[in-house]
Amino acid sequence: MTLSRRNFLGLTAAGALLPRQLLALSPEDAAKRKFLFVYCKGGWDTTYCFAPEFQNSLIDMEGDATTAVEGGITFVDHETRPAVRSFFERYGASTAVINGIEVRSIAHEKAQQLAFTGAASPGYDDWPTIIAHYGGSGLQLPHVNVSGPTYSANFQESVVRLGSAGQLSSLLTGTNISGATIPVTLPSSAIQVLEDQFVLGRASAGNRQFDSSYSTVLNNLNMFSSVSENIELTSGSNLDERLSTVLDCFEMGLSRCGIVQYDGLQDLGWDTHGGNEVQGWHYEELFGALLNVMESLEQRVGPTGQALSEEVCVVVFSEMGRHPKLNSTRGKDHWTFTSAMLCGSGVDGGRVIGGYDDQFYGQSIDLASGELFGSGSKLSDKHFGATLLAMAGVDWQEFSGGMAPITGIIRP
Amino acid sequence: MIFSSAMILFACSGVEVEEPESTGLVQLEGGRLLRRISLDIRGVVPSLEELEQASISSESLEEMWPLWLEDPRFEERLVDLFAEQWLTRVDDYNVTYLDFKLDESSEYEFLRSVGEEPLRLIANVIANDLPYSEIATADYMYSTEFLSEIWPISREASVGESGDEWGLSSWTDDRPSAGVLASNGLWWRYYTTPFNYNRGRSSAVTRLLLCEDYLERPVKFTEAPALLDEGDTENAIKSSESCMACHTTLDPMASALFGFWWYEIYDPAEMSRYHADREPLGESILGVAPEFFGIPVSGLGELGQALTLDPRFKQCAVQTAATMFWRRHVSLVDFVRLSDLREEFESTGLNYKALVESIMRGEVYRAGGFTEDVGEATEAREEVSRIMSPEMLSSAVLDLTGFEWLEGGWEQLESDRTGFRVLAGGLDGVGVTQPSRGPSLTWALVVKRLAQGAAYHAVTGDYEGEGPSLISAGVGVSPGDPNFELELERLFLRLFGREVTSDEKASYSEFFSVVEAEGSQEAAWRSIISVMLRDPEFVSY
Repeated sequence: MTLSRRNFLGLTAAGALLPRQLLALSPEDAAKRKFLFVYCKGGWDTTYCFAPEFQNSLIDMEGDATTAVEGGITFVDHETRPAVRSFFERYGASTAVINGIEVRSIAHEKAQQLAFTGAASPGYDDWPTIIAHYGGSGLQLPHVNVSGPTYSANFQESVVRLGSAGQLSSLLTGTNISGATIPVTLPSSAIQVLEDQFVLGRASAGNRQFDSSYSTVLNNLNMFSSVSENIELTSGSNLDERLSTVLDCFEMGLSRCGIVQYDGLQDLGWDTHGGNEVQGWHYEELFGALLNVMESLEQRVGPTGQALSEEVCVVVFSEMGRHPKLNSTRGKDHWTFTSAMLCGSGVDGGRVIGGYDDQFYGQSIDLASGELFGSGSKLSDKHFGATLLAMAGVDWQEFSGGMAPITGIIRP
Repeated sequence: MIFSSAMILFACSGVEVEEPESTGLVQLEGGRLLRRISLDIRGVVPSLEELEQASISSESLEEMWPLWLEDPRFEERLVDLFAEQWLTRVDDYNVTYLDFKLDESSEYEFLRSVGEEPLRLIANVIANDLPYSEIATADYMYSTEFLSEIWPISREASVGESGDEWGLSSWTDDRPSAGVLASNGLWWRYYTTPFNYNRGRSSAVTRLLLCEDYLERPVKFTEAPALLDEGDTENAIKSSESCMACHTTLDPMASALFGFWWYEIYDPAEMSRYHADREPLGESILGVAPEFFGIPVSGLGELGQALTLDPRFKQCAVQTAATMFWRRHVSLVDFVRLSDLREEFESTGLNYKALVESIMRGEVYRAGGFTEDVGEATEAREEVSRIMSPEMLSSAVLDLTGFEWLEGGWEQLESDRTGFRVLAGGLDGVGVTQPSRGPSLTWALVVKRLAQGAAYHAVTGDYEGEGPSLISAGVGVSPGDPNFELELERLFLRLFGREVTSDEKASYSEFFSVVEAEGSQEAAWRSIISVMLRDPEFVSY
C-alpha cells in the first residue's frame, strides 16, 4: 500500500506534510525499499554507544569512554570498540540514531512485543511482517526470519522461518523425512512435481479463504523450490553468516524483509543484570558485523540492477534500555527508554534524533524536523514502527495507533 | 483483545454492548462437523463406522460425540491446548539434562516432562470430572517415573508399570497444596531473577488464572518520582500512584511465592525443591504480607484457595476454553455468549467437560462458512476453516497411517531444536506464543514431507500386509477396477468427512494413472495418500 488519501490527510492534520516528507513517501522509492532488522535481544545499554551522557553525574557511564562525533553522529567512543568508530566514520552520513524511545514495559517478553508491534496485547503483526505483507507480493520469502521472534497474527503467509538448525533447507531437500527414525523413501522428482501440481490444483479450486491462502503459499513454494538450489539457506553459526543469508535473499529478489537476532558476543546476552561491561564487547562485535553488511550492500546488486545499498535500510534495535545506575552486582537493570538506529536507504543520515533528559527519560521532538521540541511528541515504539511503515510506503495509520512517523529522518 | 472484568463492568454500566451476531455464519453439519469435533477432542479423524452412524441422523451424531470426552485421548488434547495458553512446553530451561547427569538420549524426555508437568495436572482434573478449581488447590500432582528420579516426588502404587505413563503422585518436600501453583514445571518456565522477587511470577498467575495481564498495562517511569538513586525504585513501588496501581496487588501475591525463590537461578538443586524456610522472606524483602487482592493469606496454599474463589477465576476458565476451541481471541462481542457459558459452568460445579460440551454445541464453534450478507467484522473475526496445529497433524496422521515423525527420539512436530513445531505453525512458548491462524510456506513444506513419509509408511505396510490397512481395498487395484472407486469413496469419507464427487473420482483416477505410468501402482497409491494428507480439506477442519 502506498501513499493514500487517508494518510495524506493524516499527515496534513499532524502538521507534518512538507515537501520533503511528500518526497520521502514517494510510492516508487518506498515500495522498492527492503529492510534488514537486527534485533539485540535482552535490552542494550545505550550509554555504551548511543547516549554519551557524560555530563549527567547521575548516570553511571563506562570508565575511559569519551564522546566522539563521526559522520554527524555523536556517540560513545572507547578504544576497545574500533568497529563502532569505523562504522560511524564510514556510514554515519547515512545513519540516524533515535534516542529516547519509550517501550512502556520492563518485562522482556512484553517489551519485545511492544518493540515489534507497538501493542501489548496479542493479535498484532510486527513491523517487518506488515511491510512484507504489503510490499512482498510475488516474493517467495517476503519476510525471512533467520533467527529471532516474529509476530504474525494476521499475515503469517508472509513469514518464512529458516529454523534454528536450518530446518527449511532440510525440508526443501527432504533429507529430514528420509532420515527419520521410521525409514522413508521419497518419490522421484517427477512424481513429486505431479503431487505438487495436484495439491495446488485442489487448493486453487477451493472457495474458502483458507484455500486461497494455501494456494498462494503453494505457488510461492513451487517458485522458491526452483531457485532454492542457488542459495544457502543457513541459520548460520555466527552473526555475519546470519546477516549474509538475508542479504542473499535480497540479492536474489526473494525477500523484502529479514530479521536476525543478535544475542551478544558468544551468546552472552544483552540482559546484563551483572557484569555490565560485556555490553561493550557486544557493541564491538555488532558494529563489526554491521560494517560487513554495509560493505556487502555496496557490492551486491539486486534484481532491479541497483546496488542493494540503494534499496536496503538496516534497522538495529533492542526491546528496552538499561537503568542509568549500576546495581550491586555491577550490572544494570531494565529501563523503559531505549534507542534505535536506522542506516541506509531512505534514511536522512548524519543525525541523532531525540535525546535523554536529566532523569534519563526520553525527550520530546518535533516529528517533522526531528529536532528536540518541548511540546512535541514523546517517542514511543509506535512512532518507531510508523516511521518504518512510512519508509516502506505502507499506510502506517492502520497499525500505529495514530502515532505519526518521524518524517524528519526520512530522506527525500 | 482479552475479555476482562473491566469489560463486564463496562457492559453492566448501561453502555450498549454489541449482541452476539447470530447471522452471517453457516454451520457445519454431518461428517464435517463430526470431523471437527473429533479432531478437537481426540486429535484424530472419526472412523468410518462413526461417520456412517452420524450420517443416519443429526440426533445420532449429537448423541455420539459427547461420549468422546471420556476418551483418554481427550486428556492428551487438553495438554496440547493448555500448552498454547500456559506456554510451559519450551525447549530451554535454566538447567539442562546435563545438570542432572543424565544421558543425552534423555534430553527430549527431560524437556517435555518438565513442560507438561503442570499441564498434566490440569488435564487430569478435567478428565476425572473434578471441579476445575482443583487445579490451584490439589494436594497431588502427576508425574512420570523419569520426573520422580530428578524431583522430590512419590508415585502412587497404582501407576502402571510403564515409566512413561503419567500417574498420580505427590511432592515429598512438604510444599503446600496448591495444585499447579506448587508445580516445578510452572516456575521453571516462569522463573524469577533474584531482584524481581517473584513479581513476574505473580503476573503470570493472574494472566493464566484470572485473565488479568499486568504486563499489558503501560509502565510509565515518567509518572514516578526520580528513579536514579539507590532505593528509588523500591520507594516508588510503595509511594508512586503510577507504580502502586499494579504493585499494591502484585507484590502481596509475590510475597506468597518465596518458597520457590531461588538464591541461584541456574542451580538444579535449588530449582527442584520447595524451600519452606524461605516463606517468611516475602514479607521481609517486599515489606508486605502475603495477600490475594486484599485478602490476607497464610501462604501459597491459601493463595490458591483464594484465587479459585475469585469470580474472575471462573470467567477466565470460560474465556480460555472459548479461545482454545473457537481458535481465536475472545472480545467484547462475545460478552453474552461468555456470560451464558459461565453460568452453565458454575451450575455444573465447575465441570470443564460440560463447559467444553456447551462450547461445542454453540454456533461460533460450529461455524463452517459465511452467508453472503455476512458483516465485515464477523468475517474478519471468525475462524470458519481452522488450520490443524502441528500436534493435531501428528496425532491424526499417526492414527491413520501409523507414521510418527521421530528423529533421535525427538518428536519432530512437537519440538524446535531440530524439529518443525514453529515452522508448522505451532508455538515454542517463548519467541512464538500464538498459534498460527493460516498457512505459511514452511507449514506447507512440513505438511508435504509429513504426508510423503506417512504415505510411504502406510502404503508400504498395506502392500506388505502390515500396518493399519489404510487402503486395504486398494491394494493391487488401479482405476477401472470397482475396488478403486470404492477405496476413493472410503478415503474421502475418512479423511475429509464427506462423499467424493464424480468429478473428483475422475481427477484422482487420472492423477493415479499418470503416477502409475511414471512409477508403479504402489507408487501411485502412495501419491494418492500423500496428496490427500496435504489436501486443504484434510489440513483444515
